[in-house]
Amino acid sequence: MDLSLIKQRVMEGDAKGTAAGIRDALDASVPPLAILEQALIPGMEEVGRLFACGEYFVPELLIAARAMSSAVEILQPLLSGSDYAPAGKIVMGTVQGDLHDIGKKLVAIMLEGSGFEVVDLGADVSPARFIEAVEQSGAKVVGLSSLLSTTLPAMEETVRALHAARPAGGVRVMVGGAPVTDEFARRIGADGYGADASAAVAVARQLLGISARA
Amino acid sequence: MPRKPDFENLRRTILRKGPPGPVPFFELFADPGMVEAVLEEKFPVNLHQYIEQPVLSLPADELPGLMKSLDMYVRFCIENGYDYVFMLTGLSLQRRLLAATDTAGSQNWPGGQRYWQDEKGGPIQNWDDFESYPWPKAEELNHAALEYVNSVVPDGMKVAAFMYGGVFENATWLMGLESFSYALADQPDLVAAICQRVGELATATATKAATIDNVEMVFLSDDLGFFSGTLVSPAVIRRYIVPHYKRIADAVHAAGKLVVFHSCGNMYKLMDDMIDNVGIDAKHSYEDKILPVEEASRRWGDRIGVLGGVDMDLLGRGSVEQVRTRTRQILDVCAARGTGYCLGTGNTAANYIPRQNYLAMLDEGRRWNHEHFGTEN
Repeated sequence: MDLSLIKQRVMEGDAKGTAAGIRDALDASVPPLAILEQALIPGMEEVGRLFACGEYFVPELLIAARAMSSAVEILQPLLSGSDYAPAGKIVMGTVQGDLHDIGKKLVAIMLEGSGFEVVDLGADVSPARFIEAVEQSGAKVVGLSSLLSTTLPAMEETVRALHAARPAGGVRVMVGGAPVTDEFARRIGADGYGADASAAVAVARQLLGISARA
Repeated sequence: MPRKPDFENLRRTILRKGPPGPVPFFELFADPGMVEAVLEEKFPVNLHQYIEQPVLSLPADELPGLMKSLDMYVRFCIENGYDYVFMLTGLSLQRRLLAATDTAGSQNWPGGQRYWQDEKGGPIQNWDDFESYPWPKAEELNHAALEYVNSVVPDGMKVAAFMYGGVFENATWLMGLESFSYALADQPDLVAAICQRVGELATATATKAATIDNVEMVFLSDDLGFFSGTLVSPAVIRRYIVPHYKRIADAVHAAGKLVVFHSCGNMYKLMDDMIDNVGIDAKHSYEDKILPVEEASRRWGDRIGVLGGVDMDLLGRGSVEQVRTRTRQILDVCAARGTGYCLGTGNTAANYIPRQNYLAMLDEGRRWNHEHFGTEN
């Protein structure tokens, strides 16, 4: 069965059409993992590419993610017991004192769309909460977001706290946000810097030693 | 001898007319915390609440304190070398704010709380909310602060009217950016109605402000972008927002006043629309990480005034020397032609900028003017 229609509906943010396409595919005995890997993830990766090159904007990304989410809801119960494993687990959050959520959310959408499992802690997250989430989830990468210069000290403090905590298996920290630069990221000891949501996916892959999908 | 404000020099500079002259200073606004820090004097009333949520009816017992606060704003602008006083109009739409403990540790923000726009939701999510929303009536809007400042500015000094939130900002604030984004797909009629109502109120406010005799400039202020582009597509902005910009600019120009466009983020795909269609006189707000003001000057400096651009992050976290160096770099490029550029921050004199950095930026501007024109500004 041609799965390109499902991919196209994800890209168009057509949640109902995506769900209908998945049911049709399942009825045609297409394995759930194939639907995920050959339609949904490539669809969201294409959304990310279009966002990165300025053809898609926040609304297109959000409605595509909504379509993806409704699709995953259908597939999730069917995937247990399959060979499916996420590309990696990443804890995401906006640093303490910062209530800007949407930039971080876009990064989380892009990561999930690329096959990562994201533990989204929301906004105004304390260093202790990040450490706790890493220890509970076993994530190897943490993504920190900040909107204003005023919250950059909190970002620095969080990076320091995460590295000092030395959770089992180690953790690497990537940072991003409007006032964040590569130079700032290096100065505060972050392991990676993503200039935008698409770049964050590449940084996460690099930190986890994962090759980009062909 | 105190400096005499000279709005006509500012006007000539923005319109790129007349002989080269000293570089004027320019800001969209100064936060109350910065005004207090620079004047070394506290406002007699809690001005923060009026900035965050200006009320349409002012309590009588607060009026003396409010008038003294406005006098402080006028003094701040005079003493720091501006040719106008920036002041809020009375257009304010109820929205949903979130508060967080501030982590900046800035001396200019004693309240300890910083308010953030709720991005997930807002007071209008559906047609019932739209119908029951307490929309103000344009004819009942009270521009008391603007009228008061208009009556007390000294000779040579004028007033700039600043609306708290533009058409796009207010529309997305009313719904929350996330809900607004979904509504573009799910409820486009509601999006259109909200933008229309906000646009009508903004146009009425700008039209009224432009009739006030000393108001010589109206800010068309609307943050449209983020790091890599506009938040929503240029097509959406052209459809729902730009027509209102055009009406606002036409009304202000009909009164013979200036229209200065302020927009943060990478909204540059819309610059030709703003210059050729809307007819803005100048653009304010630049970020080094997105487009340094020197590059903006190169691209558009022949068509509009290019204003401000000393990066907010540098002002907030850099040293005095770094601020001086960057200010000098900008002046050497943007002010070299002798007109079309005004010195200022990349956004506002925000409360998280250390006082000494803000003052260093202005002082470097005075030095530059003294070296080139024999006068401070």
